[in-house]
Amino acid sequence: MKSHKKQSYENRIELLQGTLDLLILQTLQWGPRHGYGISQAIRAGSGEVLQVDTGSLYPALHRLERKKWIKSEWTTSENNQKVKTYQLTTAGKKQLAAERSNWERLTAAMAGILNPTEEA
Amino acid sequence: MKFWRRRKDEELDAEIQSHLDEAIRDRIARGEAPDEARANALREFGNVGLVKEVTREMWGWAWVEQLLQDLRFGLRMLRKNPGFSLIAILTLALGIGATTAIFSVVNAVLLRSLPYHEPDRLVLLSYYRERVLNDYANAAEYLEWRTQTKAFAQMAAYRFDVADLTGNGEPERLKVGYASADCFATLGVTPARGRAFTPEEDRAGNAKAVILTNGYWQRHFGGAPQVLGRTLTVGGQSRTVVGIMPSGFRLTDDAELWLPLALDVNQQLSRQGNAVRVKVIARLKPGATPEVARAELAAVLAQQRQHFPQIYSRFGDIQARVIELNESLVGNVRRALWVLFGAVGFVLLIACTNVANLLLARGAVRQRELAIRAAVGAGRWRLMRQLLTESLLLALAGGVAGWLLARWGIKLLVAFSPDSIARIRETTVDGRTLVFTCLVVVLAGLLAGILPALQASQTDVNETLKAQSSPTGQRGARRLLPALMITELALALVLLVGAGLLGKSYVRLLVVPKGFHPAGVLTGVLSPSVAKYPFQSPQRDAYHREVLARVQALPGIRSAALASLTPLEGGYGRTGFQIEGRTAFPKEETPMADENIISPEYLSTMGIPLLAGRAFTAADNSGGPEVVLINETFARRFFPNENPIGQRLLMARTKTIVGVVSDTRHQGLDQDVRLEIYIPSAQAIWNRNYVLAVRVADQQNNPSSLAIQIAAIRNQLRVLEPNEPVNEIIPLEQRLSNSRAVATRRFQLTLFSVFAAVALVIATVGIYGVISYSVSQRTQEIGLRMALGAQTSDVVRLIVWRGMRLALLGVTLGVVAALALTRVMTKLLFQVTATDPLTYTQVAVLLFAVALIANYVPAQRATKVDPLIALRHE
Repeated sequence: MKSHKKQSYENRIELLQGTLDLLILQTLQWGPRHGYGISQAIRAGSGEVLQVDTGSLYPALHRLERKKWIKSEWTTSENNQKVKTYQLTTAGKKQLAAERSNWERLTAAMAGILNPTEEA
Repeated sequence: MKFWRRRKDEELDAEIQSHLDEAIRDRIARGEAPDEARANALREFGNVGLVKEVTREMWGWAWVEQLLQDLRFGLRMLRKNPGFSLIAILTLALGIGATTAIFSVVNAVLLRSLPYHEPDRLVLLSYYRERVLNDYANAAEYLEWRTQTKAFAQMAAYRFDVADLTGNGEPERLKVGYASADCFATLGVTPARGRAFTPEEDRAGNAKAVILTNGYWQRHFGGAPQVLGRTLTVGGQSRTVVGIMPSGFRLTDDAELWLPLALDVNQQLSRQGNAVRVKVIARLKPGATPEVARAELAAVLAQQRQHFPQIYSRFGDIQARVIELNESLVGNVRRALWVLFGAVGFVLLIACTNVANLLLARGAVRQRELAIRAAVGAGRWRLMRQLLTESLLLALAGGVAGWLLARWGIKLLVAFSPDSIARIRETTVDGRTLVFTCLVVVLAGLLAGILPALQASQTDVNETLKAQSSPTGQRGARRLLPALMITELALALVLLVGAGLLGKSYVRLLVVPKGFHPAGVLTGVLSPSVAKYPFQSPQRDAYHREVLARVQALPGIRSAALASLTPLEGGYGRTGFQIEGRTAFPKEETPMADENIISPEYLSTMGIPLLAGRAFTAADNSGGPEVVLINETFARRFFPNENPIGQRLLMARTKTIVGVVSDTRHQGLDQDVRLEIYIPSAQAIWNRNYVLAVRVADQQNNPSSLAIQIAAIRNQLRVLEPNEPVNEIIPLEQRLSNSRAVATRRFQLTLFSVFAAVALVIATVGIYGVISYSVSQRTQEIGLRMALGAQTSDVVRLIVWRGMRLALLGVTLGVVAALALTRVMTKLLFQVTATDPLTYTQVAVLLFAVALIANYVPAQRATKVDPLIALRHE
């Protein structure tokens, strides 16, 4: 029996999944980061608009790792703390390119539908 | 696996903790108070437990879960079809068990290294003498090698004999080894308790120490350590127990006690008096090769020949030999064992083929199930994996059962093995055997499962699901089943041919003309103590006369006689000779004959036919003219066109030939008959121990009477010499069946026959199964034919003909394979060639008959089906 709360988390993952994956891969393009660093980067990069929920971030990170798009290792942070950092793999780079183009097609299509008159 | 999971959990905890720590640090840096920062960070993070849970779900235990699923499902399938599972498991158990049992023998005899220190550097040194039976060295040669070679780090000598243990209740005759002081050190073995012999104890006349083997210590002293320091009287000499060897210690032959070799160095080196024959072991120096060692021995030999030409010229060609100790132990059985191992491999292959057959047939039945699985998304690899899991489960169960079978089989094997297979008694189930069995299990599982799995995973989903009723069999299975049946037949044929060839050799061996009649003859060695009855002394002669007189006086005894050569086991008495009145043979080519010293009654006792002239009589004694008998081979070789009677042989003394006797196989049934001369015991100038041969009256020739006679004879011997143990007396027929030639072949034949029989049964069941299955697949066609008016006999003929065409193919393939493979058996055969046409024909006919029955029964049954039902089958 799943709790209501857990279900709502899962719904959000569903909604965010593709987008969140793209965001994570994109963030890691600039170098290895740990989980907290990724969430901060997305937040800062979006002008504080996008707040990544940890309940979505960590499952996404572990799923991407299993798909071998990213890999992790334990390193020491600038604050001298042991942290698990993730970095993009070659397969991840390809995936990023593919998802980017998908995203661009999707946004173009969405834009076409949402603003038909402007287009015409 | 649990461990792995726990580690990942801990890692996740650490990851989240570090996230929180970083967040708190950031917040503090931005000016929040520590407590506030912590609370805010936690709030921002959310429910830690829940985050962990949803993250953990991402880890994916897919492969583990799938494996568990496959296993659970496989087990369920096996339980659901207990009959099928049982047959498959039993078949595999037979194959795996037999393979494991033979492997453990191969492992003990051929693979496991000898239990000595660096055994591959240990070599056996000898001179090969063309005209004597086996390799040995004389003590003098050994002593000279020791001082004149450089290739060896250590060198030692030993020999085996029997000795009497007295003064301790019932006298006992024991097998003993005599070892030089450094013998155990050369092997790298130290006594488990006490110490090895000291050089002082190894000096002639000072040999007053004894070392017990572990077995003797356990049997006679119950393993009590106080035995060290006790005295035992061995060979009439009181000796102190100085050590106990570790258990399992053995050196080329069995011994109960070890005594110092104690060579009389000066006497041996002078080559005066009796030469002591020894076995010589040596440890090669690092870097020294057997070739280098051989060259050194050859150099020493050249000097020895120069110094003692009269000794060495007697032997014809002499060569120095350096053989690895292990090779000298097992070299003669290596081929036989590998052939057996190959044979058992065939049994395993047949078993796997058969299980593959069963799985294929069942795969056809399960086609619909598999199609549904494929339709709901199971990939081809996933389906294969599931099916392979099932066959591996079968193999695993078969492996467990086979393992138990093997443990029992090994006991049986060792109990029935002939003594000629060195180290077979060391056969145990060890780690290597276990690893081997595991490999065999995996191999068997894959072999049996791969074809059916490939086949089933190719299922055409659409076609199968569209079919209205039960599936009508796959095209692929129809193609594969006959191929497997052909394979089984071919494999079985190879095994049967092997068994047939060995069987024929065995029969040939048993009917070889022995030259004597063993039935009703009892034999035993007489070895009165040399101390009381020295060799060549009147006392010893008197003892032998008394034995013969007493035994002959027993009721139920026809005759009793003495001979110096043990029938079938050979002996060492050989003599060179020249023929009077002919050009002398050059020294190196002096012919040698086996010399058998016999009492007059020997020929009639053994039933050796006299072909010409006369037998010995009591008059052929030291006072009369010196006479000899020769065997047929001798007569044919040297007197092909003249009467040998009256010819004279020049030996140590000149002797006149008075008779020719039939050839006998004193050296072993599979050995060629050699030149042999018989000398009357009363004229012998030397002898060692005699064999007593006794022929019982005809009506006494049954097991219980023989046992009574043996007891009576032993009793006479005991009365005559109460202070000495009495040797074993056994029927000559028993000696015959225990002889190396017969026992070794019987062992090989028995194993091979068992393997062939198992293979035949498995193959028959397999063929029957395949035909039954294919007939059941064609029920509809048969029904249609019957409905259209075909006679039962037509249908049967049709089905049987199809089956027999496959049988023909299988037998042909098998014959080709057998022709190629049985060549490796040539050395194991006797008077039979590896391509013996009759054996091949008989085996082929047997297999055809089996195939015919396996085809006919299901065909006959198929025609019993009511055409109406058959037609509705669809």
